[in-house]
Amino acid sequence: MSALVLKGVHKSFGLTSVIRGTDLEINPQERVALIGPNGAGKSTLFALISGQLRPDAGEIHLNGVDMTGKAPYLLARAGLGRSFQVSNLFWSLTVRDNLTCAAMWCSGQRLGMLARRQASFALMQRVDDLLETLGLSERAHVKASALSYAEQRVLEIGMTVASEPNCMLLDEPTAGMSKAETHRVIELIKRISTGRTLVIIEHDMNVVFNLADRVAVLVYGRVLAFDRPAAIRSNPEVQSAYLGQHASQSALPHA
Amino acid sequence: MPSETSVMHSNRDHQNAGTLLGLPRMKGLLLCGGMLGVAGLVAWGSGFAVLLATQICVLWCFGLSYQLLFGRTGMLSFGHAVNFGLAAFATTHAVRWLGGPGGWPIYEILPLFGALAGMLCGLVLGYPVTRRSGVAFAMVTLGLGELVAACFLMFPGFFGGEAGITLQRTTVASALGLDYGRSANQLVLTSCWSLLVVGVILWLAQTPFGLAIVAVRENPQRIEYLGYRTASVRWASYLVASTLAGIAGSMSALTYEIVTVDSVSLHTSANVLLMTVIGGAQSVLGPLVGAVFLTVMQSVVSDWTRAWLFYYGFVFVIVVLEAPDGIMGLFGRPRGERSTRSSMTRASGYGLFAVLLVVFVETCYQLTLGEPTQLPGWQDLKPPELKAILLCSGALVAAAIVLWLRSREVQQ
Repeated sequence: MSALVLKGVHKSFGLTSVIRGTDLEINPQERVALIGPNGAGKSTLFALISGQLRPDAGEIHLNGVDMTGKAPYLLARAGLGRSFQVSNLFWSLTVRDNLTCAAMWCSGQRLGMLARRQASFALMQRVDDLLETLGLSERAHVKASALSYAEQRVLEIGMTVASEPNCMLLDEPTAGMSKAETHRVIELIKRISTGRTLVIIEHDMNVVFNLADRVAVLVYGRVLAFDRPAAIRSNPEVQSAYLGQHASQSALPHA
Repeated sequence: MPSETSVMHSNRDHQNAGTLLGLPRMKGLLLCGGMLGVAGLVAWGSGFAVLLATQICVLWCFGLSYQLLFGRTGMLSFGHAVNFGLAAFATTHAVRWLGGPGGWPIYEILPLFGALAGMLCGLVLGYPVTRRSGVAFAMVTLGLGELVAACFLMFPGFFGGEAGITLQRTTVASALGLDYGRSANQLVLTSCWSLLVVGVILWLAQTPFGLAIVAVRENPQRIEYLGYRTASVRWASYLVASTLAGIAGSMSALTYEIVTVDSVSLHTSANVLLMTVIGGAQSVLGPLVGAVFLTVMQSVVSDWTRAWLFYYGFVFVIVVLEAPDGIMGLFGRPRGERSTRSSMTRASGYGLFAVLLVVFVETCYQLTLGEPTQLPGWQDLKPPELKAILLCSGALVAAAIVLWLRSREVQQ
């Protein structure tokens, strides 16, 4: 059974057709990179999968269940987690509270009023482990708004994984980061995505070919190619449509 | 078994939670002071002072319930009095049914009827209004308030029409054998229930619910992607707030022994909003400060001047503009920010302006209404002198406002 299936998904805004019949089938625990030129509809596709937008046509299945047009909270409960291109945090809350919020529903705490948050050992353990993994233990009591940009991006990823999703969508997690920071974040993503399905939008081709099991190339709202990185690299169609914009060969590292 | 680090974290968390809610030491001191004050009033206080203290307790509870909705969940309600007032009516009817000879001795737990009525309000009325947030929510609650107020004349049997409905609290027997005809005993009971409500608010802040409502206020979009349905969280918050408002409404009915249309009106809804904002919507002591302020204005200053509502509105405007976190928020600011010279100058500037404004307004009242005001020496002034004072103070007030607007523009 596939973790995530898109069948003929369409989405247009007014007269502008952004997603034009996207088909995609992602296997469980696979790491997929979604690439494409600006305006190809990558973020729109994420919005459709995560329930932020409702597709005009087509179907979206998560773990074999039809979730087309379902509200974000239902998708989240069904095991979908997503991060945002622009950090989307609880700015006035501490790092710890941010992660606690993110982990509360899945740890069964939900809207409990009869016990303190600290009384749930599973929840506290989960948050402590996450702080450790993210390298934010020292910053646990800092407000999210007071974090550095890179730390906010890391917390954004942490919030996504805190709810124990079996399918994660990461929208440009390394955008705006230095080379060293990017490297650290990619290592982090590798660690936290083990045992989960991962779909990641990424512009850095080094990252894409280093991380992904398969690469999907989205051009003008259609999947142009979906294959192993090596095959994508040598695909002439992809080279002309997307990579050709940059000096194609130099953009593709030959590992 | 909790690991060592997690225990350490939870301890730190606990301390953190303590400071988040305001200033723990000051809060403790104030609480002790308040309890001593209540005890002193019970022992030696005059009937009027006891009644004021009871009113403050009732308003504090009501303010706390509003704080949960507005301060924590970020829901600006213009119809919170609906829960308060309907619970007050429910309590009145409960007293009428249960009272009389041979009734159960349940006087102390009568506010539970209010809580139940408030909870029912939250369940039935809260569901539709919490489907929307922000401006739409504010509008819907405004409409709901008017709708319920309109029912007063339609169902005079239940609401007692324009005269309202009265009760006699002594008709219900006390479980403790106390005589609640004495207003001091009523004060003790009311303050006990208030402490219970404070305890509930402090407890809820530490539960998953307490964090979820803050998260909904902070970023309703993100919390949806974490499994929470914001409409449900808002409903839950409304439910708790209306239950607590029910307790307050019930205590208000028992204290005044009369409930009228005023208790569900927009006027009461507005008062609880003003009170909570003036005191501070984040600290549990905020509504207390607001309740004291409102009560003093309503019951003491209103004896002194007819313009008390004007001053009340003025203070509200100043608080919203200069101290958005209310009076308690001023104490929560970092020390350096609090004692800088510029803030001292600003404070004295406001003081001076307030004096000018009072002189202007009082003179104006004396001139237009022909009644001497309470300003010392003003009674002997002749109209020409009054007019001169009016012109001078008016010019100064206008000049001060212009200067103030200029300084704000410079800041921006």
